[in-house]
Amino acid sequence: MSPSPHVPISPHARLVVCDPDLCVGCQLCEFACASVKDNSANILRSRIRVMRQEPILMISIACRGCEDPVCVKVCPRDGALAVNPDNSLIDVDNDKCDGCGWCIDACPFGAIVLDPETKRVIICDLCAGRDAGPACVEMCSKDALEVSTPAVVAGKVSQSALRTLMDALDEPA
Amino acid sequence: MNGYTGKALIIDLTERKSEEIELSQSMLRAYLGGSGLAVRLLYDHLAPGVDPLEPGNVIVFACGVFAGTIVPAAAKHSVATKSPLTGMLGDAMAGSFFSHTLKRAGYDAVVILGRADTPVYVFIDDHTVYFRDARALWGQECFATEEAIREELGDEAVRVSAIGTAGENLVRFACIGNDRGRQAGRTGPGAVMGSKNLKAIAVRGSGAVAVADNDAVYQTSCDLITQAQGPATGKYREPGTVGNVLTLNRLGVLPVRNFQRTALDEAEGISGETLHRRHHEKTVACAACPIACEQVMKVAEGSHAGARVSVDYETLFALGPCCDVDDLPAVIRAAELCDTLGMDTLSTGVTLAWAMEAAERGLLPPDDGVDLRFGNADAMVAMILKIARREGLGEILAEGSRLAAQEVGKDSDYFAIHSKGLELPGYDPRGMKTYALGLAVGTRGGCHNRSLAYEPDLKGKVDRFKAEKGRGQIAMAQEDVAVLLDSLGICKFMRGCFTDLHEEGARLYSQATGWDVSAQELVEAGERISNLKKMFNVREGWTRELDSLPPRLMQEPIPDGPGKGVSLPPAELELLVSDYYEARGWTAEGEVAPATQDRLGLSGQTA
Ligand code: SF4
Repeated sequence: MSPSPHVPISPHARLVVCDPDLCVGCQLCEFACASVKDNSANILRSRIRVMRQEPILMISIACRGCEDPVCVKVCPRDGALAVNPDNSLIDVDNDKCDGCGWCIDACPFGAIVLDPETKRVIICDLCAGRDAGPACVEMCSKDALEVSTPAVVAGKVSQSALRTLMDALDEPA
Repeated sequence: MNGYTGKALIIDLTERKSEEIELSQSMLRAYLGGSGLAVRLLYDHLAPGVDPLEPGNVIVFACGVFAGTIVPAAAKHSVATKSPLTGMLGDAMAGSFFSHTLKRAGYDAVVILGRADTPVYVFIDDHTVYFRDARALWGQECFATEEAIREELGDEAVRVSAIGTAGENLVRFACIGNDRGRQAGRTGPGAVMGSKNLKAIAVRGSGAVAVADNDAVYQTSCDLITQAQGPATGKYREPGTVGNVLTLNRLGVLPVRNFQRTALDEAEGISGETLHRRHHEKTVACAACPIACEQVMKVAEGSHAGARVSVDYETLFALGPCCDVDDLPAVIRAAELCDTLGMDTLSTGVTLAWAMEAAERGLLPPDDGVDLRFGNADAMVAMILKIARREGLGEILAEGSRLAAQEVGKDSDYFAIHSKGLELPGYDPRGMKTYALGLAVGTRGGCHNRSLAYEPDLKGKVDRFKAEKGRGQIAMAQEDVAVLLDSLGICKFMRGCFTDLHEEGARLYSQATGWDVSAQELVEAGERISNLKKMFNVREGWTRELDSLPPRLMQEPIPDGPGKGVSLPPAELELLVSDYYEARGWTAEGEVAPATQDRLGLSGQTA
């Protein structure tokens, strides 16, 4: 299915970002992740997690693709986690990972998950190899999710700051 | 088992112990889950004739087969109990992450018996049940209770169904809140929890709900999600159900001033569109819901600044036009109070409208400082607090409009707008005759959502002003669709996304469970569950006079608007009701005939 038109994904894509104004907190992205990645209905296997601070704060969070990721640094099992030189995403070596969860503690976004079935950590890989791109982005019918790069994110933040400024100038004193 | 967990948890509050029971495949298949399963378990565990607020009453929470899976907008849970408001079947539903979590903890249903000697909350931690001290939580509001419990248990993923002050004080239309903003709203289940000293049920579920064919369920769900962005759900997404104010006003079926009028001269100011434009803050969804109809409204300035709550049509109707209040910030504040104190907004608003009329007619004793009359928004807001606390006039109003009118006497029951004790929703039945029938025969009392009988009237499939034979069949079919959706846990707002609900529903059900279920089987399940609900009421002393509507609506013709002059005399309603009994295969007296019981596999089950 493709509720939103298919946009080609930049080779620099590093992360899935969520617009909290558009996110309605439905968790369908979690189901999409678990279903597509593991053919499972268990959302505890999702690499993207929706956080809700009701009534109005909601956002889904996946791996941020840090430049110098702390998860890799803290991993006590040498080489279980590594930055993939081609796409800057985190590769998990399932033979080395023993599921200790040290990286889960260390990730400032809570974006690493312990798979309850394989007992290994799982991290968003932007659905590498999937033609339609990340399943969560495709699933989100509210267009809250987007594959992005830090530069694109920065551009959007600047734009919105500019709009706020314009609105403030428009307002009668 | 796939789809289901195949287990229910029986919790005895008196003994503070719990046990698991198996739910058989044949039982689950016959009653589906959700409302059907809840009513079945209630019927089996409740001794007939108990006072709803005594420890002998039973309250059941049941999930649908799809809860915990990706199937969109299909995670409603059902709450069934003997209603303190109607004395008949209490039957409420809420959209929820609660049911997703309960399923993942391993249960299709929870049955609660007895009464704790001191306030407790029950924590279902996968397969372990804890009875936790809730004395410090007693007196807290619904939302605050949820937060406090998550804090205490130290886990954000814990989901909570809780009561507020109104439930504790046994307000007969108290609701149960869950997921900060959803409610099992009608027929007073919150009061039953209060009577059991049960402040909340908290759940942590770390398992998964298995489905038989994950690929197929995924694909079907994706198709439904795509459908749910289309025209079938457009009005629910924007501006939400509140758009009904203008629609119903145009049709002359918007009840105003306690059903004295059916249209507003000036509806724009209180319309959903205005509400949306001025106050909309955020759109929110229930679990796995691609529609997202919950519109959170916020008041930015003025005396109600800071009020924030989601508002749907029934709430807007009850606290707005029905009380002749056109002050949107006050409506938002009133709705927020209802949600946090834990009372059904519909029953609250319609009961207040009765009180405003009674006060204007000089039938009510004065209440300190609260000048109840139509249009007085401040009085409305103030009285809501008093109802929850049972203070002053609130003590009488906390009983609901039927009992309050009995207490006040002086023919004030003439304008108590309820059926079987349940206050009516925001459509005037005089101008919608199929709907009028659906309300009158409803097992939970006057309810549009359980009857769905407004649909043929509003869609112009029938002449809505006319009472005629044949409507019984239509009302029955609509009601059975409603009960099917309620039992599958599928939100009614999804119904337009199916071309053939029974065919597609059976396919999805089969994909999830791995059982080969036909459309016909689902049709029958709907009919079976509707009949069981009726048998519950008969067992509790239902009599034919209860299948009726408020005297005002049967004696006064519509005074103004597009339906001017249309009436609904008792003989007309009588004709409709008899036609419905016949369509159902019931006796002329309205009881489920033995042959019908046999056909549906319900015989031998009346006490
Ligand atoms: S699918 Fe979209 S709207 Fe739903 S929770 Fe995920 S990001 Fe938010």
